[in-house]
Amino acid sequence: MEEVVWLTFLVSLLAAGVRLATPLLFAALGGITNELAGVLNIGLEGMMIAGTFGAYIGALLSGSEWGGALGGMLAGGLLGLLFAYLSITWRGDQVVLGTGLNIFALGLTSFFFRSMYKAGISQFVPSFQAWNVPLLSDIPLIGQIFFRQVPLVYLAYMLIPIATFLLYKTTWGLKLRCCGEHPRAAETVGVNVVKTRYLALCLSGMLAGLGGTFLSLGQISAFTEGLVSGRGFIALAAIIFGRWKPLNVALACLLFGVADALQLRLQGFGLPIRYEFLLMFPYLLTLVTFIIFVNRGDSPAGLGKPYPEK
Amino acid sequence: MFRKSLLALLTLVLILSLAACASPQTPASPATEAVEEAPAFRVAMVFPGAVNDKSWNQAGFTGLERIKNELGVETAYLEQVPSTDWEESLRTFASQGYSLVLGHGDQFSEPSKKVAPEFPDTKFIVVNGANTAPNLASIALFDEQVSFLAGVVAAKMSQSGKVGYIGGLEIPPVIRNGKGFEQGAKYVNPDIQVSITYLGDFNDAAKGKEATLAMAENGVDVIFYYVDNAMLGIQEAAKGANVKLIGCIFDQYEMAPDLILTSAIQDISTAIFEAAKTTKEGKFEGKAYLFGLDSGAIALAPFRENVPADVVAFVNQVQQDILSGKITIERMSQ
Repeated sequence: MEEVVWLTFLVSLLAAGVRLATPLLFAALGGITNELAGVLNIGLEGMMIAGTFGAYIGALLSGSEWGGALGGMLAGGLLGLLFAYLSITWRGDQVVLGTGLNIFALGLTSFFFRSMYKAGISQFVPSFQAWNVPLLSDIPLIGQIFFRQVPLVYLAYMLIPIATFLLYKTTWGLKLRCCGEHPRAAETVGVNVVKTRYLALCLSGMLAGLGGTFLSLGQISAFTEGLVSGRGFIALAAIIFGRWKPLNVALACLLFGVADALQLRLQGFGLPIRYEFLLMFPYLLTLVTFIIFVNRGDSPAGLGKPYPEK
Repeated sequence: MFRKSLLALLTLVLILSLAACASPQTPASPATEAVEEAPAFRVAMVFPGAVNDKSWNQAGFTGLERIKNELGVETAYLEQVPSTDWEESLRTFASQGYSLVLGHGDQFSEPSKKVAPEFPDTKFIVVNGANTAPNLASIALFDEQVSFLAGVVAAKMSQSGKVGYIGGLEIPPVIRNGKGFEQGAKYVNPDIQVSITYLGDFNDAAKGKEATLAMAENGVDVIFYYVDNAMLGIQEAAKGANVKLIGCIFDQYEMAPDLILTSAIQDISTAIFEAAKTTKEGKFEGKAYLFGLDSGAIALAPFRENVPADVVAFVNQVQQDILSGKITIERMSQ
């Protein structure tokens, strides 16, 4: 009996962890792409915010959640393009631009949303529903944890091997990473650094936008202000934590997700621990793991530096 | 050249879009020509945030608007006042001859304690304040009373004997609502299990959803919450998990008619209006005013068909017993 209770607890904990990790995973995979291409993108948070709103508008206009996903990708991608224009073409400082982008996205979405709904409460739109994967969802434990989720979750986890392959096993990936390591060397062998970085930022924006989509259409069916609440920054931490390797970064996101799910459950048990410490738990855990396991170095050498150099 | 002008245009759009989001500032009108012989009753209020924040400051502003419209008096206000200017803003209004100066939030407790003795003819009221003086009062809602009733409803409606409370941050009003809820639930059923979870954020809907699911897995079937936008996530999760909800602050039935049993209405604007009315009538006392169920500032929202008649009758009886003093509810000390 006791065993059954623990098993149910574990399954629900991990399933919640998988859900909480999904938006982080989308954004982090996007962030890997632009960082490997040499652009530091603090604006992930803003791109996710744009995604939550774009997805909402998309679903509202098209009447379908997939239309929403398209809207989310479009909104995120447009911000990526803007970031690329300002940071690559105009060689703006990437940290300043990223921070500006976050504030810009927050203000702009609130502004549009408040002009649409004076009462501040949005109408509900079509959203993603859980879809049990045939056969796989019947596997004991694993099926309950991974294969009874909304389709966006499957998409996020499928992107892990795809990103690994594209970034680390193809010529395209090699060229992209070259732009991040030594853009001048890349240029001398005929790689168009500017074009590559533009593309990387647009891709990154679209992925972050999908992460935002998961928050507004995968978790709830509406838009509200403050949906993203700092997840873009956690994704940035996960990238560094996972040393720019999609699989490791995904594990870092999962660690965050599970730790978050755990603290929400521990609070409900009424343990005599201050709730602030439980809220801290995911961050603390990451910090400790970071200190123990991570070696220094191996970030792209050209990261954050505009190209061509002056 | 073209590139430069495009950049300039982009920058302009960025700035404009941000400026459009800022709230319009209405400066307080400085009344210089005060008529000496018959000083009219005038009310001024200082807000720490924007008066259209759909939350604490807006509720206070609604109170001030009622004072202006229903008492027919002149009002003025300052919004988004930074902490460095709290004291000075109170002093400015007092020196301009306003009869009543309100500070909207407990952060005005200390500034008003300093300023009040300098203007003995001016009355000061701090919403949720901690200090009193002959011309300084504080007003607050007796949140525990209405959340006690919410707890009674939850315990009566729960089949599992497990109820839950989800709060945003652990700050006094959120704690008080949780305490009142727990007392009310235990009043009905001393063995009831009350789980309490703080999200650490009032707006994170995804976290609200997961917290609700976690409670539901644990057998909780009625949840009372005190959050802002995170309520959307709580409602989303409750839909699939067979959990009933009790809303907060205003009647939220329309948001989810199948789920919301009732709401613990907590209307600070009524308290502000009543306090100003009392002051205008010359009955101001330098004490801590507590607005309970008898004031109308707090109440349970009307029950709909999803609460059976015997539960409604029981809750009404409990409310009578609170009003008559048969049930005493503890007020949390600051």
